[in-house]
Amino acid sequence: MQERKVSLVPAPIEAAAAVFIGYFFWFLADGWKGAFIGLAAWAAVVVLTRLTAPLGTRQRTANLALWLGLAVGFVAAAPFIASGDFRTTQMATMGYLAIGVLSLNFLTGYTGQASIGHSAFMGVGAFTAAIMVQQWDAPMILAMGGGVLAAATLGFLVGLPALRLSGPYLAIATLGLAVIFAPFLKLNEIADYTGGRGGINLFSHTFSFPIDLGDWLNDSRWYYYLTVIFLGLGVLLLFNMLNSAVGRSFRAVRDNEIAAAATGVNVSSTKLTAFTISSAFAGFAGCLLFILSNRFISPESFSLFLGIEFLMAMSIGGVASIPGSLIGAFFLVYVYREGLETISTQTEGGSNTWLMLAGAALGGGLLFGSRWTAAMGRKYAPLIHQRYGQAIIALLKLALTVAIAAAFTWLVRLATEDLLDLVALRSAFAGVLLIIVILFLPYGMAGLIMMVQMLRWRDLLAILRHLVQPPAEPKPPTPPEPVPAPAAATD
Amino acid sequence: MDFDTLAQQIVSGVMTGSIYGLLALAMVMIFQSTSMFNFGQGEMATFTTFLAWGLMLHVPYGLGFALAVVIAFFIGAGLERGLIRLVEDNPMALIIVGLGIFLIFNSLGGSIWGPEPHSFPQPFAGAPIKFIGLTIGKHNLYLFVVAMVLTSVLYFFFRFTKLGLAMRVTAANRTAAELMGIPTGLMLMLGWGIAAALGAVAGMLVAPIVVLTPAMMFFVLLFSFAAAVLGGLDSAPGAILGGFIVAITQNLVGVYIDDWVNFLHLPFDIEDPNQYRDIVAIGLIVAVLAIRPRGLLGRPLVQRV
Repeated sequence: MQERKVSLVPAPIEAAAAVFIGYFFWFLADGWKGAFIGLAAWAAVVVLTRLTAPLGTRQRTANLALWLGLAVGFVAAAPFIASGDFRTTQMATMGYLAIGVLSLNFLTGYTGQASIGHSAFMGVGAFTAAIMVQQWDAPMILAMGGGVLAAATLGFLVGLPALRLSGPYLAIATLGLAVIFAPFLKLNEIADYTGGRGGINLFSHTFSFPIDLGDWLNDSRWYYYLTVIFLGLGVLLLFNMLNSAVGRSFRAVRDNEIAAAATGVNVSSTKLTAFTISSAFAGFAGCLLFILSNRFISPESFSLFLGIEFLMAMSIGGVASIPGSLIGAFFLVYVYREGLETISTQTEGGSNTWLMLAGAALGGGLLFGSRWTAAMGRKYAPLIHQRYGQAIIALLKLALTVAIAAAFTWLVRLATEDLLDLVALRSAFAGVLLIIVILFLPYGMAGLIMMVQMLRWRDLLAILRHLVQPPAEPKPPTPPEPVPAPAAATD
Repeated sequence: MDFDTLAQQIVSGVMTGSIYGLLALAMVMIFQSTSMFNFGQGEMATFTTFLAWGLMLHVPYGLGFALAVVIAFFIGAGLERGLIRLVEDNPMALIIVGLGIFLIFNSLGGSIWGPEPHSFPQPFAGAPIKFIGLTIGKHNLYLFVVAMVLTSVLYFFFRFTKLGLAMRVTAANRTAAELMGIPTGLMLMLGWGIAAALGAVAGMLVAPIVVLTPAMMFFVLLFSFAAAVLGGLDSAPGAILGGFIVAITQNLVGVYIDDWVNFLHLPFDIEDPNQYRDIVAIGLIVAVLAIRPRGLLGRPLVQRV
């Protein structure tokens, strides 16, 4: 591996995405303060993608120090920049959701065991911690430990029958688990502990903590740092585990159980370990949820829809990818839960910028991304102009993209004004996005980012030059003379 | 134990169970050909039920019913052609695409028709029939008859017609079917269409009982999952049987769990037996999967390496 100088120039796509995300958050949340939060999250994602890239690749080495510094600085400064408690808590929410998605990714992405019921593991962690605090006034660290332990136990117990199940059967079994979890908590017989329908509310509770923290304990920033530190530790732990012999055995079981068993991997114990570790992490995310949501949880906080949200976040962010989990949580909080509401109020208010951008992405993706239009371009470019045909066609595509964007904006405006409620439709948007990602980006957003990180400025220049004057198509090599078949083919 | 109550619970369990069985049958059909569950099945059924409700405001019940079934058939067939075929060899992608379908239909229904309940027309309203000490609602009887007729029609279709045979071959061994000249793509499309149409029928039959809301099919679908898993996912008779077992168990738990707890001298009293109905029914899925993963009538999976 050749040593590279640390350059202060980010890769073009990273820079472009940073501008885009900054703009997105400027628009979404409180101007430049929001933009800062978005950039912090983006820097964290870029660093994670680089750190988890294969050793010795360009993604891993280029500008790593720059991004690492940026990410740590941005993430640490974010709660001081953010406007108000709401935004800080929201960022912390993203942190624990990332842990939850990470736990699901560990089980489903790396070990190949589909689980729709991760909400139940999370709920067990949260409720155990809450009950420990309510009944025995347990200190925070102890309550979290109890929650993690309880979730790990449940994961182990669920993992036992899950050994015999695979694919859709396992999905159904975990679906059943997630569905009975809420009604189970509401049972009158255990309502003394779980609070029944209303859940547990310890709003005014202050945790006892070994160090005297004074006012900080009631500050949402303290919880933000707590979550971020735990997220960092969790990522480190999982990353190291996945790159050890244990982690490779998980992937071996995912790819082919029989082959894994033949090479000496104990399939049953590997699956059980995966279930236990994953549910422990999910339980941990549940504890953080309990602490962050004003110490209030109800059975409905852990309905099946949370499990489905996790699966959605995992698939959109990137299956079997650590930065993908972070992107998934980011998507859940800022796009799925909040973004569409903002977009819908903004469109009512009269700003079309967003819709234009979305339409441009749609049209541009269709026109510039598809193989069919590229083939058409190659075919007709020489007919238009010998030298600048490709450039003219590129301009044409650009014009068409603008037209599509305008048409898209007009259509959506029409729909939102008279017919449909955008916020009620958000699951439909998420579903469509999910299907598009599954069809066209099998490695999710993380895969996309990893791919485009390879691109350098000079590559971009080369592409532009190619667009203006494409090199001549290389002629296909003439096939060699057919060799006469051997006289007697043995099998 | 009062015999009349027991008989009443079993009879009404059979009626509800026929619906679970019908939907479970649709699931088995899809599972056999694509080895996936269509998680969106229930939401698709709700969507077409809403369409039928809208149609029935303008046209008579029978016509609206038939139109909705045809629409559902085309939605199902179109989904197979346009979406499922692209990912059919990737099990994880199939699960996630199923969830995507679920989300899309769920929120489309919610945003078009709103969360408030609507009342779905009932062709046979009126006082329930009394019959040797049993009370049977007219709608329940109608629902049971329709479900049973459909099940037998399907049975004869698959057993005695050439098309049915072709569809069975496609599900059993796709390569062999292709070699025999069967258009397997078309057969799969037909299978999805029929499954969606069955779902629509089930939706329109239960809508008067559970009132029409965007979330109405959620639990019905779940119990049908339970029925399909219980009977074995590759067994059509198992699906029907599973439907009956799930529904009857639910009813019996609702009525008798208190007695059982007393009988076993468990250290607590049941305050609200109805809370346990759903838990026991879903717990059944997990238990069956743990003990007999291929269901009661399913064949064990034999894999060649």
